[in-house]
This record gives sequence, structure tokens and C-alpha cells, in this order.
Amino acid sequence: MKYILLKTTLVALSAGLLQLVLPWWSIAIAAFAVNIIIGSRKFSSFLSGFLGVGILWAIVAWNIDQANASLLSSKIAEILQAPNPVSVMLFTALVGGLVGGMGGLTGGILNGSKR
Amino acid sequence: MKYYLGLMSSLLSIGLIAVLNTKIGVVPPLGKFLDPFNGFWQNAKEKNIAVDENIAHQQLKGKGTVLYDSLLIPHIYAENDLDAYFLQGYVTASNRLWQMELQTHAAAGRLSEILGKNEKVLGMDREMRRKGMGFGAENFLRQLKKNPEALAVTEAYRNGINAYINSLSYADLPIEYKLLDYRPEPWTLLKSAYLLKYMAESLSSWDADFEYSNALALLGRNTFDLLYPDMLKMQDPIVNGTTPWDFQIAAAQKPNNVTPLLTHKKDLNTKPDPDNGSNNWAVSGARTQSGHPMLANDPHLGLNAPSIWYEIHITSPEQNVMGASLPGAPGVISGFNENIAWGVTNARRDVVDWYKVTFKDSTKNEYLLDGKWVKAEKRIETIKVRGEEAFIDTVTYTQWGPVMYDETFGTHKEKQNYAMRWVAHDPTEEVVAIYHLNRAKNYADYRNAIKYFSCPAQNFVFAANDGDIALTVQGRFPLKWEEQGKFVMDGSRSDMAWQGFIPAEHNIYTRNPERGFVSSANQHPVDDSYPYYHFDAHYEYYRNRRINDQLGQMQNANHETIEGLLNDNYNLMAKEALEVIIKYIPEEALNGHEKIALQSLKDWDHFNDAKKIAPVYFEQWWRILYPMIWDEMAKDQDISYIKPNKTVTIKLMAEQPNLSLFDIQETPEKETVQDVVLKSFQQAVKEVNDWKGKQEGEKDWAAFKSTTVQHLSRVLKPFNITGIRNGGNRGVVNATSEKHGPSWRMIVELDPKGTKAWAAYPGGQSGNPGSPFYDQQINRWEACDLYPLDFMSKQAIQEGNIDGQHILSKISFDKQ
Repeated sequence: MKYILLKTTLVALSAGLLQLVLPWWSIAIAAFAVNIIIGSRKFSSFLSGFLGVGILWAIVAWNIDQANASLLSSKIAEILQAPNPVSVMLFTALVGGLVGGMGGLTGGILNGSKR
Repeated sequence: MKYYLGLMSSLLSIGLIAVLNTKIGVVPPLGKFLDPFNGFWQNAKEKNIAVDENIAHQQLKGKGTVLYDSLLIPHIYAENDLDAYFLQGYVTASNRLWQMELQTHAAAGRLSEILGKNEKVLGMDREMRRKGMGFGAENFLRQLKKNPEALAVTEAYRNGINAYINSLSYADLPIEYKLLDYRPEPWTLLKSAYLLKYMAESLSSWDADFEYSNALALLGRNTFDLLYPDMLKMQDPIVNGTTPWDFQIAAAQKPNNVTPLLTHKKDLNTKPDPDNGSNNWAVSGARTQSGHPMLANDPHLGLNAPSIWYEIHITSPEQNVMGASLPGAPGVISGFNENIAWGVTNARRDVVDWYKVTFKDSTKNEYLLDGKWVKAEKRIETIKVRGEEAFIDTVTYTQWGPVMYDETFGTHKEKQNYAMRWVAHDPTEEVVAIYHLNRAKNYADYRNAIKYFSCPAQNFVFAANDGDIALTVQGRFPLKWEEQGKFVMDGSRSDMAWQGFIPAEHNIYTRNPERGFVSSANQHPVDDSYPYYHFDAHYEYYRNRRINDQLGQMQNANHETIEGLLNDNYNLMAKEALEVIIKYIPEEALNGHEKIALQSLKDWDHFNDAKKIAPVYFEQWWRILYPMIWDEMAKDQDISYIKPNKTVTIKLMAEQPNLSLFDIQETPEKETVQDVVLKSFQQAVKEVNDWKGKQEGEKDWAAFKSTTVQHLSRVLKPFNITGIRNGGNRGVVNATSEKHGPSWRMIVELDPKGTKAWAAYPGGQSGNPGSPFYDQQINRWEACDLYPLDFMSKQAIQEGNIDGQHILSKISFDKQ
């Protein structure tokens, strides 16, 4: 667990960079890459991918939402039948987190370390 | 073990990504959609859009600048005239791409391609195709290619749109593409043609041939003429005795033995909204404070978001024009330049006729004409359906036009074939008209320009800074004999054809009439003196009389006076109806609630103001009374009719109270006009009180009417603009009804020192529901407190100065 903070940060950074040039699913590649290089237990691998991408997506979405005064997110909340803009943000983080988590988990398994 | 688990985990990850990258049912591809770097979050825009962009493109011929002002109105400065149209295409697409494509897809019968399998959508697609929209658009394009000037303009406009489309990444796509998960396709000349045909469709296809034929069969000639008179005496036509018709006419010759065909058609195609109409007027300098002519225009259309209109200012060495454009067509449709201003209302005229066609056999390869079998043509319409097999529709074409109705279309039991003859199918040149009108300097230029405008026919109001005011009823009008095309005609006789067209110079017009104003509001175009036969089933009787009454009293007018008239809530129809029906109410028969309601109607000044309750009682009463009177027209499920208009209804109630038509057919009693008036009043009061009981917050006219600007998709309801508290109604000068109303409000003062203009529309310049500019103008539109427009000089644009208005952003263009 001791590398969790480092790995989460690395996933967030590399996912952010990859997304500048690649489609959204490159977040899984970022989490995979970080975890295949720095090995850890399965749960920790998943968690670093989940948190790295989830936090990244939440921050970016939150920033946009602030500048837009929730104008769009409140409409999207209605379309997605979510209760409010915050829930759309959390849902965004969850979806990104799951994909990041799965990428991280795959990387962690293939690294094989029991650290 | 590690590799086995790793493989499982990879497959699971890939599967998860694949699912989140796919649209499932109505749910957008969630991963792609929610991704804050590229998905919907990227459509959330800030109010402050200060960006300086530089764009180089090989199709540009010189330099250009676009400045967006604080309303996000683009002011285009181009060194080359064609570049100006390229820039118009580019900025329009930047703000309205999804709308432009959706409207032309709808016109082309291609909605199933985006929306997938849905019976209703497929029905809409088939209807557009069977109506010959593609046939008309292709004829338009063929004609366009014969005019090098208009072709170059339309091509430059197309190139600008495509330059924008080609620059788009997924992140930049309008949000509707992300929600529905598809991508824009390249713009084409044909799409501009489709857009103009779409306007023709929504503004000229209100024929009542089937309904009239059926009514004639039901009622007999005398009652038919009583219920459907061509024009009532009270009417005040657009041109009323001010123009001498000093030309020789070639009247249409009526053939022998013309008998209206009696038909039995049900499930007719959907007609355009009968409220599609407009107001426009111009007052001479004698009536204005400044001494300069002033002009006003407000086209009434479905209230849509993104708005049907896009404001734009286009300058090049050859033009300096500003106003409302239609996204998808080059130029300005309703606007002004340094010398003139013009505006449009729909000119009602029957330009759609129906012919009953007799085919030799079920192959429909030959049809009967003057006793011989003539070869028909087939047009195969392939309607792609998203995720499904395409739907193939074969439409037969005769010399009349497409056979829209046959045994395959509609759910009717009718097996007859009917072909449609429509002016919009002919090669027309509306782009040429707009091109010349945008750079017109005076009355002669204006008349020369608009003669190219064929369909939908428009009442073009005009004012110039040399003092002229005028109004011309412009369109390509078939030369018809008396009552030709009022009823369904026999398609096996070639002498049933239109005998040519009224020459444009003979069209109805008025110039500088003595009364000092010209106006139109979809009423009858002219008094009895006009020598050509003209007819339509849907003329307006109320807005025009109110407008003319008010203009007749107008002195020292300024833009605020004219705003007042645009926003006038006087309900002339209610006044005239109540004068008749209130006296049929026996007060002793009323309960307490009903007495209160009646008193409120008696005390009412007939203004449909937002906070009043009387208009609610009146509206609800009329909604019940009108169909109750004309129940004869609804009883037969297999035959379609059209109800006599409101004006005729009121007149009959006043003058012929014993008419048997007032009887409600489904009851055993014999009702009189008094009975239906009382019955409908009591029901209305009950329904209004029920509504008041359920309604939270305000319980007034604005709340009852609850005007909504609907998102074009109709299904993405959170993108609607709601909470509008506006007075008015259909038939009122401020024609704001539930989902319909003034789609553009413009006032222009023709000051020779510089044209001044004010405008607002129900929406905003951005088509993006995530932008503050999506509904920016709604409050000022609602209050009819119009924005002054910045009609800056070319020099000011070049130097980047806009007086009084903050410049939000600047785009510089250059050739590559």
C-alpha cells in the first residue's frame, strides 16, 4: 500500500497527458502502464487506477462546471435522470475510475509483485 | 496463473471500455460522453469567450475579420465579396451546426438515419419524400447552376461550413451529436436547396383541397359558400384601394364541364402550423419623430431552440448588410443595409393543387390523360434506418407531380391516387433574390431583386432612407380560373393544368400610400379591384385590423412606440366574439363561480396581458365552444374536414342563431346557439377552476399559456427554454402562444446618416445549450425591449472598434 499515493498521482498525470492526444479510453492505458512498472497487490493496483482517473476526471469536470455555473451539468442531470449536477460529477468520476481501476488491476496482475 | 488472471482482467477491461463506448438504447456512450476532456463537459462554455483566432484557408481569396459583439453577433469584414459568404458559412456553422444539419435532414426525409427505427419518424421521412422535397431541391440546384453569380455565393457559403466541419474533433462537436452519437457530414449545395424547400414546405403547403371537396359534398353549394366565404366585408386587405392596376391581363380560360371531384380522404399529411404567419409594417417619415421612415417585422413561427434565425452583419466592398439569416442559406432574409430595410410576412395563396390520377394497372407505369395512356416515372426513395435495414419507398411521378397519396401511404382505406402540383417543385431562385436584395439601394433595386423570390410567397415590406415605403406581395403565383384548385381536380384532363403564372410586374403592391404606412399580417392581399383570381383557405382577420387601426393613429413614432405595437396584446377576436356570445348567457342559470367568471369577462378590456385572468376564461371557453359548434366536421372518422374560420363562426352566431349547424349531433336534444354557448361556458369555468386548484404559483394568463421554446429534438426536454411570462396569443399582434410566436422582432429607422436598428429573438446566437448565449435574449424578447444593434461601419470593423458594445472575440482570416 505504501506506493498508493505515488501511483495515484502518476496515473492522474499520465492519464491527463495521454488524453490530450488519445481518446478517452487511454486512461486505462495510463493506469495499466503505471501499475505494470510499479507493482503492488491487486487491490492497491485497482485503487490507484480508480482514484487516479476518478480524481482527475472529477477535478477537470469540477473546474469546467464552476466556470459554467452548472448551466449544462444541471440540464445533463435531468437527461440522465440524476438528482443534481454534483451527482453527474460523481458519476463521471465513477465511470472514469472504473475504467482506470480495471487498467490498473490488469497492470498490477501482470507485474506479479506481491508488495 | 498470473497470465491467466491478466488475460481475464484485460478482456474485462476491454469489454468495459467497449460497452462505455457504445450507445445503448437512448443512453449515450457513457465513457466517451462523460470524459471531461472530450465529452459533454467540453460543451459547457463560459460567458467570457475572449479569444483571438487566426485561420488560414486555401479557399479564401483575401483577408477578413470577424468580430463577435456582446450578443455574439458576428460582424464580418471581408476584402472580397465571396469571402464574406465563406465567413458567413464558417461562423454560422460554428454556432449552429447541429441545427443546420438536422433541419436539412428533416427536409430530406433522413431523420430515421439518425434516430433509428420509429414508426412516427419513418412516417415523417416518407411524407417529406412523397411530397417531392428531393425533386424540388434537385430542380432548385439545377437552376442554381445556370446562374454563375448565385452559384459562386452558395459554393463559398458551403466551403465556409465545410472548413469549420473539417476542423472539428470529437470534443468540439455540438452536444446533440454526442448525445445521439453520430457525426456531421460535409455540407453540400443540395442541403442549402433543401433548407429553402423546408421553408417553402412550412409556409406554402396549407392547401385545403381535400377538406373543401369533402365539405362541398357534405353541405351542398349554398351552405358551403356560407361557411367558407372567400372574404368577409369587415376585412382590411394588405392593399386596399391604393393601387391602380394599369396593365393588360391575360386571364386564365376556364375549360368546359369543370366539376369539383368529391373525395373521401382521411389521414392527410400533416399541415404546417396554421399560426405560421407574421406582422410587418413601414411608416413614412410623416409619422415618425425623426422624420425618417421606420420599418418593423416579426415572423411568427414555432418557438424553437436553437432559434430558426441567426443574426449576422456582413460587409465586403460590395455590401454592408445586417439582420436575420437562416442557418443553411447565404445572405440575410429580414434586415437592412445602409440605404434600405425590408421584412417578410407569409403571403398566403393557394400554390398547392391536387389531381386525382387514374392508373392503367397496379404497376402504375401508365396513367390516363385525355383518353390516352401516358408513361409515369418512378423515383425510388431509399430511407436509411439507423441499425436496421433501409426502407424503400417508390413514388410515382406524373406530369402534375408526385403521387403522394396511394394505397401505400397513410392508414386510410382509400385506394385512390392523388398527385400534387406545387410551385416549390419548379426551378426557383430565392438565393438570387436575397443576394440582390441585400445590396439594394432603392425601390427599383428592391423590386428587381424580389422578383426572383418564388416560394414561399412573401409580403416584402420595404423602407428606404430616400423616404420611400412600399409593400409587395411577391411569389410565383399560378394563373388560375375562378375556383381552380379550390377542390380536387381531375388528373386525366390536361386542361385542368395551371395556365402559366402571373407576371411578377403584375403582383400586388403598394408604394407610398396617402395614409403614410403599409402593413401586412397574413390577411387577404387585395381588394376586389385586382384583376387576377386569387384564393387561399387560411387568411387572418384580426392582427391586420388592429395594426392598421394603431398605425392610423401613430404620430411622432420612435422605436419605443413601435416596440409597443409589436408587443400589443389587444385581442380583437375576443372583443368581437364576446360582443356576440355574452348576450346568449342567461345569468339566472349560473352558479357563483360562473357569475364571477362572467363578470370578469364583462369587465375585461380585451388585452391578453400576462397577469390577467379574463383571457384564461375566454381562451378556455373558445377552445370548447368552437369544436362543439363544428362537431359535424369531426364525426366521421374516415373523412377529413376543415372547420370554418373563427370569424365566420362568430358572424354566424350573431346573424343566424337558428342555423341547424349549432345542434350538437351526438345529443338527442336540438341545441340552439344559446344552448352551446351556455354549455361550453359552464364547462370552461369548471375546467379553469380545476386548473387553478392544481396550479402552484401564479394563476394568470401567462401561467395558463405557459409559453415554451422547444429544443428542436423535441425529446431533449431539459434543453427547452421555459418560465417565459409573456402575454399575447394567436390572432393577437403579440402572437406569442404556447409554442409559437414572434421568432424575430426587428425595428429599423432609415436615417440617411446611418441606419439604426433594434432587435431581439426568443433564444440566443449560440445553439449550444451549455452556453450562456443559448437563451441570452429571452428576457429582452419577452419584454419587447429590443437590443440596439451595432451596425458599425466597415472601417470600424477593420480597426476593431465597435461603439458602445464590448467585443468578445476576434477571428482573423487569410488565404493560405
